[in-house]
Amino acid sequence: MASSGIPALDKIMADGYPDKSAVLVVGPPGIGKEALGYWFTKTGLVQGDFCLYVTRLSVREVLQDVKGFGIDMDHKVPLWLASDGGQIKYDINDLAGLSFSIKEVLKQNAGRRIRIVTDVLSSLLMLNQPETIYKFLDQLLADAKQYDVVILATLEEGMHKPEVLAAMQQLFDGVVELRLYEEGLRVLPLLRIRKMRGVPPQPGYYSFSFSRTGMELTSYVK
Amino acid sequence: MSLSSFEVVAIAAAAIVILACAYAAFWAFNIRRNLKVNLYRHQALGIGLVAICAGYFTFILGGASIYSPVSFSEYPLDNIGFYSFLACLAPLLYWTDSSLLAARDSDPLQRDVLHWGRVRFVLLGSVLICLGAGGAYTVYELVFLSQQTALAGTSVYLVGVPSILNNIAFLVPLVVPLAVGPILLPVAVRRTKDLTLRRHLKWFGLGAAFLMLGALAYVLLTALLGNSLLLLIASVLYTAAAYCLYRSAKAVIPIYSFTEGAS
Repeated sequence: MASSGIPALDKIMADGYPDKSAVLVVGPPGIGKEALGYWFTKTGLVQGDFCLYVTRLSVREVLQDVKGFGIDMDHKVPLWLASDGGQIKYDINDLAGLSFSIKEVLKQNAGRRIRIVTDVLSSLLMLNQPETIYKFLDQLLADAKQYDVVILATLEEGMHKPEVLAAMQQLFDGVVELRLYEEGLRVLPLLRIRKMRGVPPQPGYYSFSFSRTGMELTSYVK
Repeated sequence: MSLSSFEVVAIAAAAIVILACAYAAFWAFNIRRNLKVNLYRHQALGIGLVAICAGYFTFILGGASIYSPVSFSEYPLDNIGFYSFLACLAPLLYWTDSSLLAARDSDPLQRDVLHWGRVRFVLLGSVLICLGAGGAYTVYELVFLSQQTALAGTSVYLVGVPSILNNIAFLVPLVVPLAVGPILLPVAVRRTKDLTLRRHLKWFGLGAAFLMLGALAYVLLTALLGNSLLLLIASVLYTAAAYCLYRSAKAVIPIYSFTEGAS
Protein backbone atom coordinates (compact mmCIF):
# COMPACT_ATOMS: atom_id res chain seq x y z
CA MET A 1 0.00 0.00 0.00
CA ALA A 2 1.13 3.55 -0.66
CA SER A 3 0.36 5.92 2.16
CA SER A 4 -1.73 8.92 1.11
CA GLY A 5 0.17 11.06 3.62
CA ILE A 6 -3.08 11.67 5.44
CA PRO A 7 -3.41 9.24 8.38
CA ALA A 8 -7.20 9.60 8.59
CA LEU A 9 -7.56 8.75 4.90
CA ASP A 10 -5.16 5.82 5.17
CA LYS A 11 -7.29 4.47 7.96
CA ILE A 12 -10.43 4.50 5.80
CA MET A 13 -8.64 2.83 2.89
CA ALA A 14 -6.85 0.18 4.96
CA ASP A 15 -3.35 1.73 5.02
CA GLY A 16 -3.36 3.79 1.83
CA TYR A 17 -3.84 3.52 -1.90
CA PRO A 18 -3.48 -0.02 -3.30
CA ASP A 19 -0.19 -1.00 -4.98
CA LYS A 20 -0.04 -0.63 -8.75
CA SER A 21 -3.23 1.37 -8.78
CA ALA A 22 -4.60 4.49 -10.41
CA VAL A 23 -6.78 6.65 -8.20
CA LEU A 24 -8.96 9.51 -9.38
CA VAL A 25 -9.76 12.42 -7.07
CA VAL A 26 -12.93 14.12 -8.29
CA GLY A 27 -14.19 17.44 -7.02
CA PRO A 28 -15.18 20.95 -8.03
CA PRO A 29 -12.54 23.62 -8.49
CA GLY A 30 -11.36 25.25 -5.28
CA ILE A 31 -12.42 22.51 -2.88
CA GLY A 32 -8.86 21.37 -2.17
CA LYS A 33 -8.47 18.10 -4.05
CA GLU A 34 -4.95 19.10 -5.12
CA ALA A 35 -3.94 18.91 -1.46
CA LEU A 36 -4.38 15.13 -1.63
CA GLY A 37 -1.78 15.13 -4.40
CA TYR A 38 0.58 17.36 -2.43
CA TRP A 39 0.42 15.16 0.69
CA PHE A 40 0.82 12.04 -1.42
CA THR A 41 3.92 13.52 -3.08
CA LYS A 42 5.41 14.77 0.16
CA THR A 43 5.02 11.39 1.85
CA GLY A 44 6.53 9.65 -1.17
CA LEU A 45 9.57 11.95 -1.10
CA VAL A 46 10.03 11.36 2.62
CA GLN A 47 9.81 7.59 2.14
CA GLY A 48 12.33 7.68 -0.72
CA ASP A 49 9.89 6.87 -3.49
CA PHE A 50 10.43 8.39 -6.90
CA CYS A 51 7.81 11.11 -7.46
CA LEU A 52 6.70 12.60 -10.75
CA TYR A 53 4.36 15.60 -10.76
CA VAL A 54 2.63 16.24 -14.08
CA THR A 55 0.91 19.62 -14.09
CA ARG A 56 -0.86 21.94 -16.50
CA LEU A 57 0.37 24.87 -14.41
CA SER A 58 3.86 26.27 -13.98
CA VAL A 59 6.00 24.84 -11.19
CA ARG A 60 5.94 28.22 -9.46
CA GLU A 61 2.13 28.23 -9.36
CA VAL A 62 1.99 24.71 -7.92
CA LEU A 63 4.58 25.53 -5.24
CA GLN A 64 2.57 28.63 -4.30
CA ASP A 65 -0.50 26.44 -3.92
CA VAL A 66 1.44 23.91 -1.85
CA LYS A 67 2.50 26.74 0.44
CA GLY A 68 -1.11 27.96 0.59
CA PHE A 69 -2.11 24.63 2.11
CA GLY A 70 0.61 25.03 4.71
CA ILE A 71 2.55 22.04 3.38
CA ASP A 72 6.31 22.15 3.82
CA MET A 73 8.09 19.97 1.28
CA ASP A 74 11.30 20.09 3.36
CA HIS A 75 13.30 21.13 0.28
CA LYS A 76 12.52 17.81 -1.36
CA VAL A 77 11.12 18.16 -4.85
CA PRO A 78 9.56 15.73 -7.27
CA LEU A 79 10.48 15.50 -10.93
CA TRP A 80 8.35 18.10 -12.64
CA LEU A 81 6.67 17.54 -15.98
CA ALA A 82 5.16 20.99 -16.35
CA SER A 83 4.17 23.61 -18.87
CA ASP A 84 6.79 25.92 -17.40
CA GLY A 85 9.65 25.68 -14.92
CA GLY A 86 9.92 21.90 -14.78
CA GLN A 87 12.82 19.57 -15.66
CA ILE A 88 10.67 18.23 -18.49
CA LYS A 89 8.56 20.64 -20.47
CA TYR A 90 5.51 19.45 -22.28
CA ASP A 91 2.95 20.79 -24.68
CA ILE A 92 -0.63 20.13 -23.59
CA ASN A 93 -1.63 19.70 -27.23
CA ASP A 94 0.87 16.89 -27.68
CA LEU A 95 -0.72 13.76 -26.25
CA ALA A 96 1.86 11.43 -27.75
CA GLY A 97 4.71 13.52 -26.32
CA LEU A 98 3.11 13.48 -22.87
CA SER A 99 2.68 9.72 -22.97
CA PHE A 100 6.26 9.26 -24.19
CA SER A 101 7.72 11.45 -21.43
CA ILE A 102 5.84 9.58 -18.70
CA LYS A 103 6.85 6.17 -20.06
CA GLU A 104 10.50 7.25 -20.30
CA VAL A 105 10.46 8.33 -16.65
CA LEU A 106 8.89 4.99 -15.69
CA LYS A 107 11.56 3.07 -17.62
CA GLN A 108 14.40 5.05 -16.05
CA ASN A 109 13.08 4.37 -12.56
CA ALA A 110 12.05 0.75 -12.99
CA GLY A 111 12.66 -1.16 -9.77
CA ARG A 112 11.74 1.74 -7.54
CA ARG A 113 8.40 2.59 -6.01
CA ILE A 114 7.03 5.39 -8.21
CA ARG A 115 4.32 7.91 -7.42
CA ILE A 116 2.75 9.99 -10.16
CA VAL A 117 0.45 12.92 -9.44
CA THR A 118 -1.29 14.76 -12.23
CA ASP A 119 -3.82 17.56 -12.70
CA VAL A 120 -3.90 17.57 -16.51
CA LEU A 121 -6.93 15.39 -17.15
CA SER A 122 -9.51 18.18 -17.23
CA SER A 123 -7.38 20.20 -19.61
CA LEU A 124 -6.89 17.19 -21.87
CA LEU A 125 -10.63 16.52 -21.89
CA MET A 126 -11.31 20.11 -22.87
CA LEU A 127 -8.84 20.08 -25.72
CA ASN A 128 -9.67 16.67 -27.16
CA GLN A 129 -12.61 14.44 -27.89
CA PRO A 130 -13.43 12.42 -24.73
CA GLU A 131 -13.01 9.13 -26.64
CA THR A 132 -9.44 10.12 -27.53
CA ILE A 133 -8.66 10.69 -23.87
CA TYR A 134 -10.30 7.44 -22.77
CA LYS A 135 -8.06 5.52 -25.20
CA PHE A 136 -4.97 7.51 -24.27
CA LEU A 137 -5.56 6.98 -20.56
CA ASP A 138 -6.48 3.33 -20.88
CA GLN A 139 -3.22 2.63 -22.72
CA LEU A 140 -1.11 4.76 -20.39
CA LEU A 141 -2.52 3.17 -17.24
CA ALA A 142 -2.04 -0.33 -18.66
CA ASP A 143 1.60 0.42 -19.51
CA ALA A 144 2.24 2.07 -16.15
CA LYS A 145 1.04 -0.98 -14.24
CA GLN A 146 4.04 -2.94 -15.49
CA TYR A 147 5.94 -0.91 -12.91
CA ASP A 148 5.56 -0.45 -9.16
CA VAL A 149 3.57 2.71 -9.59
CA VAL A 150 0.66 4.44 -7.90
CA ILE A 151 -1.02 7.20 -9.89
CA LEU A 152 -3.13 9.92 -8.33
CA ALA A 153 -5.03 12.08 -10.81
CA THR A 154 -7.36 14.96 -10.11
CA LEU A 155 -10.39 15.77 -12.23
CA GLU A 156 -12.49 18.91 -12.08
CA GLU A 157 -16.13 18.25 -11.43
CA GLY A 158 -18.65 20.61 -12.98
CA MET A 159 -16.42 21.33 -15.95
CA HIS A 160 -17.39 18.25 -17.92
CA LYS A 161 -20.59 16.50 -18.84
CA PRO A 162 -21.76 13.88 -16.30
CA GLU A 163 -21.33 11.04 -18.80
CA VAL A 164 -17.69 12.00 -19.37
CA LEU A 165 -17.10 12.05 -15.63
CA ALA A 166 -18.72 8.63 -15.26
CA ALA A 167 -16.64 7.17 -18.08
CA MET A 168 -13.43 8.55 -16.58
CA GLN A 169 -14.24 6.97 -13.23
CA GLN A 170 -14.53 3.58 -14.92
CA LEU A 171 -10.89 3.74 -16.01
CA PHE A 172 -9.51 4.05 -12.49
CA ASP A 173 -9.05 1.51 -9.69
CA GLY A 174 -10.17 3.97 -7.07
CA VAL A 175 -12.27 7.12 -6.95
CA VAL A 176 -12.18 9.60 -4.09
CA GLU A 177 -14.89 12.21 -4.26
CA LEU A 178 -14.75 15.63 -2.60
CA ARG A 179 -17.94 17.65 -2.84
CA LEU A 180 -19.95 20.39 -1.21
CA TYR A 181 -23.36 19.27 -0.04
CA GLU A 182 -26.30 21.41 0.87
CA GLU A 183 -28.15 20.53 4.06
CA GLY A 184 -30.77 23.11 4.90
CA LEU A 185 -28.88 26.39 5.14
CA ARG A 186 -25.55 24.67 5.71
CA VAL A 187 -22.90 23.80 3.17
CA LEU A 188 -20.86 20.73 4.08
CA PRO A 189 -17.57 19.67 2.52
CA LEU A 190 -17.78 15.88 2.38
CA LEU A 191 -15.44 13.15 1.20
CA ARG A 192 -16.51 9.77 -0.03
CA ILE A 193 -14.59 6.77 -1.30
CA ARG A 194 -16.71 5.86 -4.29
CA LYS A 195 -14.60 2.83 -5.03
CA MET A 196 -11.18 1.49 -4.18
CA ARG A 197 -9.65 -1.75 -5.37
CA GLY A 198 -9.29 -4.18 -2.49
CA VAL A 199 -11.43 -2.15 -0.14
CA PRO A 200 -15.06 -3.13 0.52
CA PRO A 201 -17.57 -0.57 -0.84
CA GLN A 202 -18.09 2.27 1.61
CA PRO A 203 -21.36 4.13 1.51
CA GLY A 204 -20.27 6.56 4.23
CA TYR A 205 -19.44 10.24 3.95
CA TYR A 206 -16.69 12.01 5.87
CA SER A 207 -16.68 15.66 6.76
CA PHE A 208 -13.24 17.07 5.97
CA SER A 209 -11.12 20.08 6.77
CA PHE A 210 -7.52 20.94 6.07
CA SER A 211 -4.87 21.72 8.63
CA ARG A 212 -1.11 22.12 8.59
CA THR A 213 -0.72 18.50 9.52
CA GLY A 214 -2.99 17.20 6.79
CA MET A 215 -6.64 16.55 6.46
CA GLU A 216 -9.02 15.98 9.33
CA LEU A 217 -11.81 13.51 8.64
CA THR A 218 -14.85 12.84 10.76
CA SER A 219 -17.55 10.39 9.93
CA TYR A 220 -20.70 12.18 8.81
CA VAL A 221 -24.15 10.88 9.57
CA LYS A 222 -27.00 12.34 7.53
CA MET B 1 -46.61 58.98 12.84
CA SER B 2 -48.85 56.99 10.50
CA LEU B 3 -47.65 55.70 7.17
CA SER B 4 -49.58 56.14 3.97
CA SER B 5 -50.44 53.06 1.92
CA PHE B 6 -47.81 54.06 -0.60
CA GLU B 7 -45.16 54.18 2.12
CA VAL B 8 -46.20 50.75 3.40
CA VAL B 9 -45.93 49.30 -0.10
CA ALA B 10 -42.55 50.98 -0.57
CA ILE B 11 -41.23 49.54 2.68
CA ALA B 12 -42.58 46.05 1.92
CA ALA B 13 -41.14 46.07 -1.62
CA ALA B 14 -37.75 47.25 -0.41
CA ALA B 15 -37.77 44.67 2.40
CA ILE B 16 -38.45 41.82 -0.04
CA VAL B 17 -35.59 42.87 -2.30
CA ILE B 18 -33.20 43.45 0.60
CA LEU B 19 -34.01 40.03 2.06
CA ALA B 20 -33.51 38.39 -1.33
CA CYS B 21 -30.15 40.13 -1.73
CA ALA B 22 -29.14 39.17 1.79
CA TYR B 23 -30.04 35.55 1.05
CA ALA B 24 -27.87 35.63 -2.09
CA ALA B 25 -25.00 37.11 -0.09
CA PHE B 26 -25.48 34.52 2.66
CA TRP B 27 -25.03 31.67 0.19
CA ALA B 28 -22.04 33.31 -1.43
CA PHE B 29 -20.26 33.67 1.93
CA ASN B 30 -21.38 30.20 2.98
CA ILE B 31 -19.77 28.69 -0.11
CA ARG B 32 -16.68 30.86 0.26
CA ARG B 33 -16.14 29.55 3.78
CA ASN B 34 -15.90 26.00 2.44
CA LEU B 35 -13.53 26.69 -0.43
CA LYS B 36 -9.78 26.31 -0.07
CA VAL B 37 -8.40 27.98 -3.19
CA ASN B 38 -8.13 31.76 -3.00
CA LEU B 39 -9.18 32.38 -6.58
CA TYR B 40 -12.60 30.82 -6.07
CA ARG B 41 -12.91 32.29 -2.59
CA HIS B 42 -12.44 35.74 -4.16
CA GLN B 43 -15.11 34.98 -6.72
CA ALA B 44 -17.60 33.93 -4.03
CA LEU B 45 -16.71 36.96 -1.89
CA GLY B 46 -17.17 39.23 -4.92
CA ILE B 47 -20.65 38.03 -5.69
CA GLY B 48 -21.61 38.24 -2.02
CA LEU B 49 -20.47 41.86 -1.88
CA VAL B 50 -22.29 42.68 -5.11
CA ALA B 51 -25.49 41.23 -3.62
CA ILE B 52 -25.03 43.35 -0.50
CA CYS B 53 -24.51 46.47 -2.63
CA ALA B 54 -27.63 45.68 -4.66
CA GLY B 55 -29.56 45.42 -1.39
CA TYR B 56 -28.05 48.68 -0.19
CA PHE B 57 -29.29 50.53 -3.25
CA THR B 58 -32.74 49.11 -2.84
CA PHE B 59 -32.64 50.44 0.70
CA ILE B 60 -31.54 53.86 -0.53
CA LEU B 61 -34.24 53.97 -3.23
CA GLY B 62 -36.89 52.68 -0.83
CA GLY B 63 -35.86 55.38 1.60
CA ALA B 64 -36.00 57.93 -1.19
CA SER B 65 -39.55 57.01 -2.03
CA ILE B 66 -40.65 57.44 1.57
CA TYR B 67 -38.64 60.33 2.83
CA SER B 68 -38.26 62.44 -0.26
CA PRO B 69 -41.17 64.86 -0.45
CA VAL B 70 -40.63 65.10 -4.20
CA SER B 71 -40.86 62.55 -7.00
CA PHE B 72 -37.97 60.26 -7.86
CA SER B 73 -36.88 62.45 -10.71
CA GLU B 74 -36.28 65.26 -8.28
CA TYR B 75 -34.68 63.15 -5.62
CA PRO B 76 -31.29 64.72 -5.06
CA LEU B 77 -28.33 62.50 -5.79
CA ASP B 78 -25.98 64.19 -3.40
CA ASN B 79 -22.30 63.67 -2.91
CA ILE B 80 -22.59 60.91 -0.34
CA GLY B 81 -25.15 59.06 -2.42
CA PHE B 82 -23.05 59.28 -5.54
CA TYR B 83 -19.83 58.38 -3.79
CA SER B 84 -21.44 55.37 -2.10
CA PHE B 85 -22.68 54.30 -5.54
CA LEU B 86 -19.11 54.49 -6.83
CA ALA B 87 -17.79 52.58 -3.82
CA CYS B 88 -20.39 49.89 -4.48
CA LEU B 89 -19.09 49.43 -8.00
CA ALA B 90 -15.70 48.37 -6.60
CA PRO B 91 -17.01 44.91 -5.58
CA LEU B 92 -18.34 44.53 -9.10
CA LEU B 93 -14.84 45.08 -10.45
CA TYR B 94 -13.44 42.74 -7.80
CA TRP B 95 -15.84 40.00 -8.89
CA THR B 96 -15.14 40.67 -12.58
CA ASP B 97 -11.41 40.41 -11.92
CA SER B 98 -11.71 37.10 -10.04
CA SER B 99 -14.05 35.70 -12.70
CA LEU B 100 -11.63 36.57 -15.48
CA LEU B 101 -8.81 34.92 -13.53
CA ALA B 102 -11.03 31.87 -12.94
CA ALA B 103 -11.72 31.75 -16.68
CA ARG B 104 -7.98 31.80 -17.29
CA ASP B 105 -7.44 29.08 -14.72
CA SER B 106 -10.01 26.80 -16.29
CA ASP B 107 -8.65 27.35 -19.77
CA PRO B 108 -6.40 24.45 -20.79
CA LEU B 109 -4.10 26.85 -22.60
CA GLN B 110 -4.15 29.38 -19.74
CA ARG B 111 -5.13 32.20 -22.09
CA ASP B 112 -5.78 35.66 -20.73
CA VAL B 113 -8.91 37.42 -21.93
CA LEU B 114 -7.54 40.46 -23.80
CA HIS B 115 -4.34 40.51 -21.69
CA TRP B 116 -6.34 40.96 -18.49
CA GLY B 117 -3.48 39.49 -16.42
CA ARG B 118 -1.40 42.57 -17.22
CA VAL B 119 -4.07 45.23 -17.70
CA ARG B 120 -5.72 44.46 -14.37
CA PHE B 121 -2.92 46.00 -12.32
CA VAL B 122 -3.27 49.34 -14.12
CA LEU B 123 -7.07 49.40 -13.97
CA LEU B 124 -7.46 48.13 -10.41
CA GLY B 125 -4.77 50.53 -9.24
CA SER B 126 -6.30 53.53 -10.96
CA VAL B 127 -9.77 52.72 -9.61
CA LEU B 128 -8.42 52.44 -6.06
CA ILE B 129 -6.47 55.69 -6.35
CA CYS B 130 -9.45 57.51 -7.83
CA LEU B 131 -11.79 56.13 -5.18
CA GLY B 132 -9.41 57.39 -2.51
CA ALA B 133 -9.16 60.80 -4.16
CA GLY B 134 -12.92 60.98 -4.73
CA GLY B 135 -13.54 60.01 -1.13
CA ALA B 136 -11.17 62.68 0.13
CA TYR B 137 -12.81 65.26 -2.12
CA THR B 138 -16.28 64.25 -0.93
CA VAL B 139 -15.26 64.59 2.71
CA TYR B 140 -13.62 67.95 1.98
CA GLU B 141 -16.72 69.17 0.20
CA LEU B 142 -19.01 67.99 2.97
CA VAL B 143 -16.94 69.45 5.75
CA PHE B 144 -15.86 72.74 4.22
CA LEU B 145 -17.86 73.64 1.14
CA SER B 146 -21.25 72.61 2.50
CA GLN B 147 -20.85 75.01 5.40
CA GLN B 148 -20.21 77.84 2.99
CA THR B 149 -23.06 76.92 0.66
CA ALA B 150 -25.42 76.32 3.55
CA LEU B 151 -24.67 79.83 4.67
CA ALA B 152 -25.44 80.99 1.16
CA GLY B 153 -28.74 79.08 1.33
CA THR B 154 -28.07 76.57 -1.51
CA SER B 155 -27.75 72.81 -1.61
CA VAL B 156 -24.57 70.97 -2.42
CA TYR B 157 -24.86 68.55 -5.33
CA LEU B 158 -22.16 66.72 -7.20
CA VAL B 159 -23.34 68.35 -10.37
CA GLY B 160 -21.66 71.55 -9.42
CA VAL B 161 -18.62 72.80 -11.26
CA PRO B 162 -16.00 70.23 -10.35
CA SER B 163 -12.42 70.49 -11.48
CA ILE B 164 -10.99 68.22 -14.18
CA LEU B 165 -9.22 66.17 -11.52
CA ASN B 166 -12.47 65.82 -9.64
CA ASN B 167 -14.14 64.62 -12.83
CA ILE B 168 -11.47 62.00 -13.39
CA ALA B 169 -11.61 60.88 -9.78
CA PHE B 170 -15.32 60.18 -10.13
CA LEU B 171 -15.30 59.02 -13.75
CA VAL B 172 -12.70 56.24 -13.50
CA PRO B 173 -14.43 54.30 -10.66
CA LEU B 174 -17.72 54.71 -12.54
CA VAL B 175 -16.65 53.72 -16.03
CA VAL B 176 -14.05 50.99 -15.41
CA PRO B 177 -16.23 48.59 -13.34
CA LEU B 178 -19.22 49.12 -15.63
CA ALA B 179 -17.21 48.68 -18.84
CA VAL B 180 -14.76 45.87 -18.05
CA GLY B 181 -17.37 43.18 -17.33
CA PRO B 182 -19.60 43.70 -20.37
CA ILE B 183 -16.56 43.84 -22.67
CA LEU B 184 -14.44 40.98 -21.33
CA LEU B 185 -16.81 38.52 -19.68
CA PRO B 186 -18.74 37.62 -22.86
CA VAL B 187 -15.39 36.69 -24.41
CA ALA B 188 -14.61 34.56 -21.35
CA VAL B 189 -18.02 32.85 -21.54
CA ARG B 190 -17.56 32.06 -25.21
CA ARG B 191 -14.03 30.79 -24.72
CA THR B 192 -14.38 28.70 -21.58
CA LYS B 193 -15.52 25.10 -21.73
CA ASP B 194 -16.05 25.05 -17.98
CA LEU B 195 -19.77 24.39 -17.65
CA THR B 196 -19.95 25.67 -14.06
CA LEU B 197 -18.20 28.94 -14.84
CA ARG B 198 -20.49 29.48 -17.80
CA ARG B 199 -23.54 28.92 -15.64
CA HIS B 200 -22.20 31.26 -12.96
CA LEU B 201 -21.47 34.04 -15.48
CA LYS B 202 -24.78 33.65 -17.26
CA TRP B 203 -26.80 33.99 -14.06
CA PHE B 204 -24.71 36.96 -13.02
CA GLY B 205 -25.17 38.60 -16.42
CA LEU B 206 -28.91 38.16 -16.13
CA GLY B 207 -28.86 39.64 -12.63
CA ALA B 208 -26.83 42.62 -13.82
CA ALA B 209 -29.28 43.16 -16.68
CA PHE B 210 -32.23 43.26 -14.26
CA LEU B 211 -30.36 45.69 -11.99
CA MET B 212 -29.62 47.89 -14.97
CA LEU B 213 -33.26 47.77 -16.09
CA GLY B 214 -34.37 48.71 -12.58
CA ALA B 215 -32.03 51.70 -12.57
CA LEU B 216 -33.14 52.69 -16.07
CA ALA B 217 -36.77 52.49 -15.00
CA TYR B 218 -36.11 55.13 -12.36
CA VAL B 219 -34.34 57.37 -14.82
CA LEU B 220 -36.62 56.98 -17.84
CA LEU B 221 -40.07 56.35 -16.44
CA THR B 222 -40.34 58.83 -13.61
CA ALA B 223 -41.84 61.44 -15.87
CA LEU B 224 -44.46 59.00 -17.18
CA LEU B 225 -45.48 56.94 -14.17
CA GLY B 226 -46.48 57.68 -10.61
CA ASN B 227 -44.23 56.75 -7.72
CA SER B 228 -46.32 53.71 -6.74
CA LEU B 229 -46.28 52.10 -10.17
CA LEU B 230 -42.63 52.91 -10.68
CA LEU B 231 -41.77 51.39 -7.33
CA LEU B 232 -43.69 48.24 -8.21
CA ILE B 233 -41.89 47.85 -11.55
CA ALA B 234 -38.49 48.52 -10.01
CA SER B 235 -39.16 46.13 -7.13
CA VAL B 236 -40.09 43.33 -9.50
CA LEU B 237 -36.92 43.95 -11.50
CA TYR B 238 -34.73 44.11 -8.40
CA THR B 239 -36.28 40.95 -6.95
CA ALA B 240 -35.53 39.20 -10.24
CA ALA B 241 -31.97 40.54 -10.04
CA ALA B 242 -31.58 39.26 -6.48
CA TYR B 243 -32.84 35.82 -7.53
CA CYS B 244 -30.32 35.73 -10.39
CA LEU B 245 -27.51 36.76 -8.02
CA TYR B 246 -28.58 33.96 -5.68
CA ARG B 247 -28.44 31.44 -8.54
CA SER B 248 -25.11 32.83 -9.62
CA ALA B 249 -23.72 32.57 -6.08
CA LYS B 250 -24.80 28.93 -5.90
CA ALA B 251 -23.16 28.27 -9.26
CA VAL B 252 -19.65 29.35 -8.20
CA ILE B 253 -19.05 25.64 -7.79
CA PRO B 254 -21.52 22.75 -8.00
CA ILE B 255 -23.37 22.07 -4.76
CA TYR B 256 -25.10 18.77 -4.29
CA SER B 257 -28.02 17.66 -2.19
CA PHE B 258 -28.30 14.18 -0.79
CA THR B 259 -31.60 13.54 -2.48
CA GLU B 260 -31.63 15.41 -5.76
CA GLY B 261 -28.08 15.14 -7.09
CA ALA B 262 -26.37 18.25 -8.44
CA SER B 263 -28.18 21.54 -7.94
